[in-house]
Amino acid sequence: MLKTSMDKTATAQQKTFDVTRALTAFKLELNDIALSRGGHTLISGLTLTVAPGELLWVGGDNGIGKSSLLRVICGLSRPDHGQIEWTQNGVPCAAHDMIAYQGHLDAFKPNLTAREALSFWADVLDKDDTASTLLNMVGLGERADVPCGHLSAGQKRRLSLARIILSAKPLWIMDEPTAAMDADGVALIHGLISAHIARGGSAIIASHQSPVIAGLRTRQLVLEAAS
Amino acid sequence: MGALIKRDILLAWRSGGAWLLGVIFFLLFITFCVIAAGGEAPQLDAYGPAYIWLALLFATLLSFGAIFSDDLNDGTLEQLVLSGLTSFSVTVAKWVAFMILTIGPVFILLPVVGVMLGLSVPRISGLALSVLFATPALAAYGVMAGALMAWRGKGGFLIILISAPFLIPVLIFGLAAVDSYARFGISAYEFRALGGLSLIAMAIGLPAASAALTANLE
Repeated sequence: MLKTSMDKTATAQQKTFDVTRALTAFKLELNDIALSRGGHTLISGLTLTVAPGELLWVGGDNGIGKSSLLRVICGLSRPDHGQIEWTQNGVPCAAHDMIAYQGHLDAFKPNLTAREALSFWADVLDKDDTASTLLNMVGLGERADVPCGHLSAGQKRRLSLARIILSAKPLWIMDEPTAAMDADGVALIHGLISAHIARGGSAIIASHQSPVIAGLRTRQLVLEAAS
Repeated sequence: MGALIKRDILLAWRSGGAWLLGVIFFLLFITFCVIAAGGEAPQLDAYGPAYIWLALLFATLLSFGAIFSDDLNDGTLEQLVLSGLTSFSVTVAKWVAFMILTIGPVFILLPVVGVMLGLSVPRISGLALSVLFATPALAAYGVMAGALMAWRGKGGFLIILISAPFLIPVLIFGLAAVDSYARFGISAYEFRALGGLSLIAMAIGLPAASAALTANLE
């Protein structure tokens, strides 16, 4: 009984949270990108455009270059060749203006509680501190005052989802978002992505399996080893 | 930037005493020096400031490696950059936090240690002032070395090699300032030299650290 009522408040808060955000129009353009790791060419000649409302799945075997590609898209590493353009409202911008990134590393300090961690990131991102609302949204409402070091791998992924929502960026770049997630967690991610895309946002997801999200058309980019 | 400084202070407070490593090293180093010197008052008065300065330098050198490595290894640095914080802001935040968390406790203990070594009050005051004037320099070279080494894993030894040449002038003028203070007070030229060294260190160390972060994160 208690649980149902809590769920209800969570959804009610979720709605108010979503309405307050307007996503800006953006475009991501990759032109003839080549990238390598340790002298070994992973990707070459990749040209790609991502516009609002799109879900792009990047698939391929281990070590094929999915994560490296995502880091290049985030501006965290440079391609060997080619250009990337980040545009917002038709004006060129920096990657960090439009991209929220969920990588393999959680970037949470074991000695800070989940709430403190989110408040810190809200402060850094210059957003209102909505830690409690966000924690309820990602199902961590009852673990808010637990140090991040005591959260499970899946719970830390949920917490980093909360940071992505908090950032209010239009383009989500997610590296293996469902890794370490239970069925509820996967449903949560899919729900958040659908809502994000419905609002005119986009997501690029790297994983081994194509995410099947009800009602969403998924573009696919499957990386294959050159023969 | 303020958020990062606040967080670093909170993390230090929660670290279970790990942040006091530098201070503990500082006290141990001085204790060993006193024992090695035989503990006789005339010698301690002559060499006390030198022991304290050396202890301070080694204690700060010990802490250089940790300035950026934690935030690099757990992905915080890349998230900070993607939050729109410039690498210069990150550098300045780390510089301030280093002054507060590493040199601050040593500075607070200086008078106590000075009295223990039997230094006269003017020499203790001179020592405290020389450390105060040199603090921005020590921290600026600290973040520079820390940023250069963060991507090279266990490079503690190299950090010492990188920082040592920069720290030598600070040490020379820091010690000279202690002696001059007794005669000329705060107007001794050594204090101006230390202030100048600190400004140079900020002008070199902070942009260098920031450039190292940018180069490694892009």
